[in-house]
Amino acid sequence: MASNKSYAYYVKGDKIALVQRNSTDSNATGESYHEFKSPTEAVTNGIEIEYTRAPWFEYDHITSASLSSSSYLNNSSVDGINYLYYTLVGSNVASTYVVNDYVFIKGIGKWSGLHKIKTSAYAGGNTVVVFNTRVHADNLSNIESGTIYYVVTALEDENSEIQLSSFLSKAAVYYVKAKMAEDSGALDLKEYFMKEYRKVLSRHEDSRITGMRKVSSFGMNR
Amino acid sequence: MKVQEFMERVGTTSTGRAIAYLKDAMEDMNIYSETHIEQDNISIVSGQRFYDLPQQMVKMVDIRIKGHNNNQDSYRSIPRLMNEPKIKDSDGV
Repeated sequence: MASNKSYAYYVKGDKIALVQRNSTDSNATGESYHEFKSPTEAVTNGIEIEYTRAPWFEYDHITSASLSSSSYLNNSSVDGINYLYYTLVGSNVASTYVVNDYVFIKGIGKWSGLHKIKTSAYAGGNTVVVFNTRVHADNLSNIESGTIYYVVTALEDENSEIQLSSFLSKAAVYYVKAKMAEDSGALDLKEYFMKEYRKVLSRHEDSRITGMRKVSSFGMNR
Repeated sequence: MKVQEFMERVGTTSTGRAIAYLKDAMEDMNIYSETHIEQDNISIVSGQRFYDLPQQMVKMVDIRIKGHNNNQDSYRSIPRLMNEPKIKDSDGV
């Protein structure tokens, strides 16, 4: 008999619940064969999540630092407020992490995302970078897996480059015009711009599908 | 396109408002059209059921698990359960 593992998931709030099919018959413990329960073994990088994100920041994929036991994240109190911080043991890389720049952290679930640098210093043989990210009532244990990307461009001011194709930028123009029309109470205008926005977005989608398209009515599927 | 040019096209001079709405537009696009795809890996911990989703995620596209229904350690998509399993987990939410 095959010894393959079989998983399934469901979503609860901002978390994903991963369950594994029971592959042993253990009626004595009240668990029946094929019933789902929590994963029974550890797998490094076992979950691969594919998702979409808003491209209001872009990062250099090569210039990164891996988290480990000597390069970890935790939380620290600065002036009575808990912030997320990064420690690199035994190296001085404080100049890499410039105050008010951003870093993008991946692969650590809740704390993944963009973080603005509050302070960066080399002290006691370690580099300590404090982020502007508040940590509320969480006693974090050291986060030692994940990746920090430290060359990040974010939308901040008028000189920032928008990370959209020129075609999608047109859709964004319509969207922002619609929102501004809505703010001023011009609802007809808002509807018009939203219609144009969806039209451009739809054309963008269509441009990526080639060849013949088949459409069948509901009745034919029966 | 730079934000400056974008603001000229929109016809506004308020940078903060334009950038805020531009970010909204980018999120909306990714719910509707999946323009920017990202991938993240999380390690499975024995006995742990709940895992945090990435904060920057707008829309989940797929969940794949290493070794799901195969012996080659390849990643395969897993199904979503319609109902929660009867066996609860001690780590809570």
